[in-house]
Amino acid sequence: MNGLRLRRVLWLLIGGVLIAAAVPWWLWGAPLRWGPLPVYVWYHIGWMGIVTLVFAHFARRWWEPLGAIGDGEADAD
Amino acid sequence: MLTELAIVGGYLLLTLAIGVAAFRVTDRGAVSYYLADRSLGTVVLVFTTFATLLSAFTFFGGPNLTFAAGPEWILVMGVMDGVLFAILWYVMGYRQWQLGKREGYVTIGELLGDHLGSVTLRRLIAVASIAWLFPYVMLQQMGAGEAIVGLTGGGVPYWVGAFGITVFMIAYVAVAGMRGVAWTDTLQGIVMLGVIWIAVGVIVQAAGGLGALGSELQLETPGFLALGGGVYTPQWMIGTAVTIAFGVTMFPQINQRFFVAQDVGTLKRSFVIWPLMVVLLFVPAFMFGAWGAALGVTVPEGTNVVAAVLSAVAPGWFVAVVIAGALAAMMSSSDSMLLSGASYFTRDLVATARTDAFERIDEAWVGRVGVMVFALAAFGGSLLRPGTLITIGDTAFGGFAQLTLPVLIALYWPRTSARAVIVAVVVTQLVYLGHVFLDPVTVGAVSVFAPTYLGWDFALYGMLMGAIITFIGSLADPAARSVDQRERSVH
Repeated sequence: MNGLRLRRVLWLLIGGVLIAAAVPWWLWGAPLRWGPLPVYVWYHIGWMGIVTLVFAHFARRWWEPLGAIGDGEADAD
Repeated sequence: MLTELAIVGGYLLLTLAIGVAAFRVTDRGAVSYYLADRSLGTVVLVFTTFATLLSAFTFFGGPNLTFAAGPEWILVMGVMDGVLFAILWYVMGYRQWQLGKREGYVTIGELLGDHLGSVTLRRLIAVASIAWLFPYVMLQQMGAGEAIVGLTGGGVPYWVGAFGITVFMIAYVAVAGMRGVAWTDTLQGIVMLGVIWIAVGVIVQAAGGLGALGSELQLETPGFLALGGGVYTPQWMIGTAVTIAFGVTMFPQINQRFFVAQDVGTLKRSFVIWPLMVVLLFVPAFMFGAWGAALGVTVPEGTNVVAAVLSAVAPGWFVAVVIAGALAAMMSSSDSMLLSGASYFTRDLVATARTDAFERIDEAWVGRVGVMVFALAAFGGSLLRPGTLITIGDTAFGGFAQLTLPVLIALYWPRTSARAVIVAVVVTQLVYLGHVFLDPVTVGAVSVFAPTYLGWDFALYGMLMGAIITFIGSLADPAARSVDQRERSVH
């Protein structure tokens, strides 16, 4: 149960990073281009690829343990 | 002009034919009609959710914005739809799906009302949802009107396009249920993706290659290359992404799709490919606006950028194909909206108000008349054109977003009190409406009803307020059902 709670916090943090870093805030105001797109658009495309990989891992391994109702842990609070 | 109109009209008739085909395999039970028997597989679920999200707001509002202000909107939409919405789909949608499958729920109001033991709450959620659906349906009609004006160079007036989509969506909802909507959404999603990428090819060729297109961007619109600037402040980008993502989850047409997956594998696969779908469509669609600006295309007032840019670089028939695709995408939002709105109206309002005197009223009939009245009223509103597509969409999203956190708390926290949720919804809706309709008033050092506080959208403060009221109200409510009772109802 404790392990699951820890995992839940961990995945909340990972989710937060996936959201926050989808915009390259550190490139703010820098006029960079590569080919037909601004660099921040390229970055965003790459980041969405990473998001997909993380989502795939989550779906395979943690989807039910963290979200399924009925095994008594879903309403642990 | 006739060719263009024939292409648009032909495409719409094709989707209507699909609706009729779906009608033949749908019986009139609520789960069959509104939820396609909870039987959608991955491809259809992804495309129907996707196409439903792709309203006039995304398809016409987005490129208009990137044309004027730069392609940062791609990032806002990516955060909002690609990541945040996908996560909410898991957090809220997976839970709803499980409860819906077990208890047979068709609407979120029904789920909450039953879960927290309050018919008032059920009705309140339905009323608020239907109210915010109104400006959003209006937005589709405005988008269609502007698209037809853009396509025909003003040959067909605005109201004809707006009225056309109104009639079409009423007809569609009357014949096809969720299954028909989902099937046509799949067709429309694929067509959409196809035409937008072909359109990118056309504009690249017209500019003389990818490098040349980039050079134009650098030369003509250097501000677009730097992240931020103009309307794009961090507060605005974050505020918009958060309110829209949370708002979308409570949109009837999106929230109801949380119930329709056939199994958990479908949900997982949809979740994983979601961010890729968002990139595949939004990057080209929104770059279109930015590239159009770089190529110096002029866009007449009140028309849309996609049509103007394409008209400058592509033959008329191709412009018509793209506009037909876009109209179809808007249609798949609109018919889903009306269908879900009808289910809220008949199940959460009409059916719960039933007394002996009304016993013989036919729910399906009431639903259809309701849809017609609602769509025609929205058409009336669309003739007044009370704002830009982005402004109207944003207002509706923010209104829905006020509902999301109280609902989310209720889904996860067994102590949640129905009365606390009701108070939270009523208070936040009133505060939100006050901000939309009243002019700012300065009280002492503070400006009340201002559009932003410390640079952040008022909708965010409303969301926070809703969560706090729900939380404190539940702790304070002695009548909140005990955890033991809730355990019984959940497990």
